[in-house]
Amino acid sequence: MLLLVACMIQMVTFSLSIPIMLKNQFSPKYVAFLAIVSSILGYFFFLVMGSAASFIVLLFLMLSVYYQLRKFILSILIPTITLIFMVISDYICGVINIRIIGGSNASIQNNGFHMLLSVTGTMVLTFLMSAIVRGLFTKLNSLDIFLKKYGLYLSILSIFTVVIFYINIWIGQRQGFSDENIQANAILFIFYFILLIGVFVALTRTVMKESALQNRQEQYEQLKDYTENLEQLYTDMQKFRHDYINILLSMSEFIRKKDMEQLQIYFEKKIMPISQGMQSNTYKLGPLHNLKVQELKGVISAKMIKAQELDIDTVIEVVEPIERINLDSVQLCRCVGILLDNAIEEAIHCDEPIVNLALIRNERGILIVVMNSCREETPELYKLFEKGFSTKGNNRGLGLSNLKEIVSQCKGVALDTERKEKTFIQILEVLEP
Amino acid sequence: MLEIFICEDDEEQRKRLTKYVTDYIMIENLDMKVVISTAHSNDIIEYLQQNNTTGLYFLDVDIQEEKSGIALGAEIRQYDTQGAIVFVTTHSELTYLTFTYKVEAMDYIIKDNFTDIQKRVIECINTANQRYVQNKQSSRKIFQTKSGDKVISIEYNDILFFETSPQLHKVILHAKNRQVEFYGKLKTLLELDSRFYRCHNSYVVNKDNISEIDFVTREIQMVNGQICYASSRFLKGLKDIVQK
Repeated sequence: MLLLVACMIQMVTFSLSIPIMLKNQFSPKYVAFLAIVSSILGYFFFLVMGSAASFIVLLFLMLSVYYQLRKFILSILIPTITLIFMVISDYICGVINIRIIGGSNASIQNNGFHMLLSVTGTMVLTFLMSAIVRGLFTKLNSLDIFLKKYGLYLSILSIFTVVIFYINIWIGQRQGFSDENIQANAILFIFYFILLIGVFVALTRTVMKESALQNRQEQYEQLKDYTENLEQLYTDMQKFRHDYINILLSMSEFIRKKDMEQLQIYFEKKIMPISQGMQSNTYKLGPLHNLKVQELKGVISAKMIKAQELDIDTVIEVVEPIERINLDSVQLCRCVGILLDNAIEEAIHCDEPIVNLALIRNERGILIVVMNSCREETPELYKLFEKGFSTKGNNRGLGLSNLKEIVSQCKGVALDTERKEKTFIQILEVLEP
Repeated sequence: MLEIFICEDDEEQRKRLTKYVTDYIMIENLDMKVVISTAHSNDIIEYLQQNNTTGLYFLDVDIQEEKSGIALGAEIRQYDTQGAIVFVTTHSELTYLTFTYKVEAMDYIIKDNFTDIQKRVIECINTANQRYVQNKQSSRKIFQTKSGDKVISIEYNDILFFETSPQLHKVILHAKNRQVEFYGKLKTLLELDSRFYRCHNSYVVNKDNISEIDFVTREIQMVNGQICYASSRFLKGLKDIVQK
């Protein structure tokens, strides 16, 4: 009976740590299901094959995590890490029991009180470690990139660790789990564990540095485009100044002769086209000079140049100087990038493609407004926010749902999406603190 | 009476603009009057500080002062929230979104030679007049709230439901053609109108826009097909509503 209770507590620990680490992505019902099934499996197989029963439960949990998340690496990694945590906590409790409480391994096996104390201690420690990992995951904002790059190595490493742990446990079991054996194992495990953490931290650092570098590279490229655009503008201006003198000269000539007819023809043929040229695309990035947030300037100019190349009529409005925007620059660039990408993708399907962007300063914050023309028969608004939805077929529609997710994590940022007949308007409001 | 204000620093253009307006008022015998026609924004602000009024404003975007026409518009908004602002602008300084979202401008008139300015002025006067009359005897109820400086106004009929966001104190409003977030509390929204019902700890639904309720899965389908969730605690009250 006691064994059953202890076994159940352990299995519940095992299955509950997973949702702790994954920020409760499972429904309470599913978690309860996991806990119950793993308890039954764990108890049954423990009677048959001893400690190795953990592997059966491990396999079951991996499969059920995969069933919910459909992420291969994550479903291997998370349960394995949990198991490592459990073994470590178990051994820490074992050592505490021997050293501080003065029991022995035998007392854990036989004394009901000691046994319960040990398993609850294990539970608390494991939960604590899982919570720490969860905190780390949240801090690491490029988790997906990290897992894509090093997830496989990390999984192999953690599986390897678990296997080594269990070989040691198995040897210990063969020798009857003497107290010395437990302590030696504990030291070994903890060192191994610290090593694992070291590797993890080192990898994380590299990834973070790399992504920061990549970001900077991207910003640099975008700013280069912007500079080129400005240079083009400057050359145009030079040309215009040159023409301007000539135009005035010839006009004064017509006026001197009082030849109104010729003057009118000249005006319509030569001067009107120039004023239209002034409205051409190169001049449209001009208002960006009011935007002092460099990295955002890069994103906006890159996207708007792209839109202009696709023959979209673009307008940028930055009427007042904008010195700063109260949002982490990586998040900000991602949000604005998504907004503009969406706008461009929809606009190219219209008869009169338009993408307008405005940065507006208010008393209490900044409004980033993106307006684009859209087709009349776009689906209901809420469908656009669903994960995986896209008007361009499968697997492309991460835009709006991603945007909403980023926004929901940021303080003082609100999203406003509206459709009015043939236009689609998105407003990102960033409040000052 | 709707009071009309004109701010334009080019004297020639100001005279022309004023003439268009006064002529039209006279011909149509409208209940309006040009109160101020000036080159200096301060004249308008001073008047607004002393009088509580609803006006129609024609503002030149590029006035030769420290503040631009847009800044003037924003200042006018502080005194006259209902007024109609129309910007007079050249094509090159046309900033439509800024007009709309910074000062909720009603319209803009492009003063390049080829647009018929007079016609556009008349159109603006008519729209402003219509709005003014409608506001006085408005029947449709409009939900209004503020997010920062941005005013959100949506007709009650278009609201589907409110949902709390993972961010503290943030509420997401789902309407038929709009999704908008603002800072607020579900509890205060609930008190606004009897058609709102708390169906879940984090949802308040507009009863008028429910199309179907599945009592097994506790899903409420709205008229546009969107799903809102109910919790078992509040489900009983919903049953009563449906039976009515």
